[in-house]
Amino acid sequence: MMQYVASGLVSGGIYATMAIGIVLIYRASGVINFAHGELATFGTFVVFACWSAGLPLPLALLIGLLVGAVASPCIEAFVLSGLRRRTHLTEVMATVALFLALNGLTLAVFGEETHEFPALVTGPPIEAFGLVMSRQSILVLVVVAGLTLIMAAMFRFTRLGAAMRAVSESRESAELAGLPVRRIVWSVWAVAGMAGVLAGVLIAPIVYLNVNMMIDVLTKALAGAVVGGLTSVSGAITAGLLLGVGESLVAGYVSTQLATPFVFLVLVLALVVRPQGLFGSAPKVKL
Amino acid sequence: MTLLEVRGLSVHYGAVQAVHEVDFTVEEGAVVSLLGANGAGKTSTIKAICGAAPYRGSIRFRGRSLPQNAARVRAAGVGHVPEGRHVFGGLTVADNLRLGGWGKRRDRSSEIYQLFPRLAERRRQLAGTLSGGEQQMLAIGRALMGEPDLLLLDEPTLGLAPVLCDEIFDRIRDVSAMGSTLVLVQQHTSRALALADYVLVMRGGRVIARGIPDDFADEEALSAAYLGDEMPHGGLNNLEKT
Ligand SMILES: Nc1ncnc2c1ncn2[C@@H]1O[C@H](COP(=O)(O)OP(=O)(O)O)[C@@H](O)[C@H]1O
Ligand SMILES: [Mg+2]
Repeated sequence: MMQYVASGLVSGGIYATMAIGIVLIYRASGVINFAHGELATFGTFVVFACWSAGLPLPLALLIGLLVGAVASPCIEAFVLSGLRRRTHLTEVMATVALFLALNGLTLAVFGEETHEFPALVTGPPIEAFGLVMSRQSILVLVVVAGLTLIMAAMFRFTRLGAAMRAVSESRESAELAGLPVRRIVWSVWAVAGMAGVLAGVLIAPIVYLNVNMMIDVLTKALAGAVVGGLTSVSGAITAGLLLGVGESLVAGYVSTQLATPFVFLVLVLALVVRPQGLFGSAPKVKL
Repeated sequence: MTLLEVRGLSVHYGAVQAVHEVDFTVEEGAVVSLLGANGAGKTSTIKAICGAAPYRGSIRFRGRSLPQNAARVRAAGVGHVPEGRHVFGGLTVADNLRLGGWGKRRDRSSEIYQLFPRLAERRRQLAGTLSGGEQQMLAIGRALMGEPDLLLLDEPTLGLAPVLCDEIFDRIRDVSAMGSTLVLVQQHTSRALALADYVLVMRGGRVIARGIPDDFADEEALSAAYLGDEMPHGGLNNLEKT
């Protein structure tokens, strides 16, 4: 039982990391960014390419994070801002199109092979409290916990964090207060992009690096973001972790085939029973 | 010295023209009151100056054209206390002030807390839980955090109880006494006239009267002018000094 919970927390941690990005972007731009997962895949491939070219892994990781931090705001700056008629429908169509385009681009640049991705930590699995966990799994948990703390500290204590919250609360008020709204929104996308690449690098050693590796993760992260209320970072993290654990328990005790449907069943249930999510306020937009 | 020079300012919202070819200047250190009834075009004029509404015409600040971008106008030294306050309700008082100081090295918050002791007591409180008067103080404080050379206040006493209006006006007088140049938008005349060095009256998107406060001593004529009543005895012509 605890073994399933532990492995569920690991995949849930990855969903949570992706869900954070989805929520941040939604709060800043009011957009569900379907391309978020593919951006993460692309960044992860960049890390892999740099590492394969002989760069040390930490440096390769840094480059990948930078790619995420630059590419993600470009979606807002060049695609979404460029939409002639910016409605929720055109925004969704644009990010879905980008999802496919980025998937194709990654395929074209890096090929369709599956690669073994270097683990950030190596060594034999660790046994404690009757659990056996790979070091990579433990790393995932540590990173997710660390990321949560860093995010919370950024939003609470830094001026940029306060500005991000202000823009999420009311773009108009932020504009009237003379804040550089566009640059603040781009910063949010950059943070989300980095979190996405980080999630990719964390999961790649577990599922192997492949063009399509984030599709499943993204859909589950989306479920987590929605169940968590779409506007709440803590809600997304909690829901992501819970979905991961639930999925793992269903796979362990019921059937592996039902694990993924379980996640989306929860999503549908959540939309029916509690559309504002676990912690979220009433949804601002309808899709 | 002329601090702000507005020439041929027009503001359109789609097919609606809210401001028609407005001209005026603001001298350094002065308090200019911009009066007019609801819908006269005051807010549109202020927003245009602040870069928060697109416009045609020329707006020069210290002789240089102001960019049509709110963040850059603010950086150039123009502070804006928007109509409706627009404080960030989910942020603390301290964070609201902090954002007012965006891009500034110096932290003026202790000066702001001196000016508005009620804010000092509530610095950890969420702005959304403040009373209307306190939110207005916060909006003024937030604008002052940017160390503006020119401060534009759009109906800072709208919807406040009379005692609070007095308090806000006292603080605005303090700000003016510290040497700031102010443009004060008001619907109600007496307080605005008492504070002003120069008065502009707008109606239907145009400046229909202007002069020093003494010219507007006949409050009845002034009310008639800006409330849009029929002119009783040619009062408007007497006012027109342009
Ligand atoms: N965002 C807007 N869209 C369309 N019309 C507007 C908008 N803002 C103001 N107006 C119109 O412009 C005119 C002037 O409004 P405003 O500048 O707010 O006047 P005031 O501040 O003097 O009350 C009014 O007729 C108002 O209806
Ligand atoms: Mg107004």
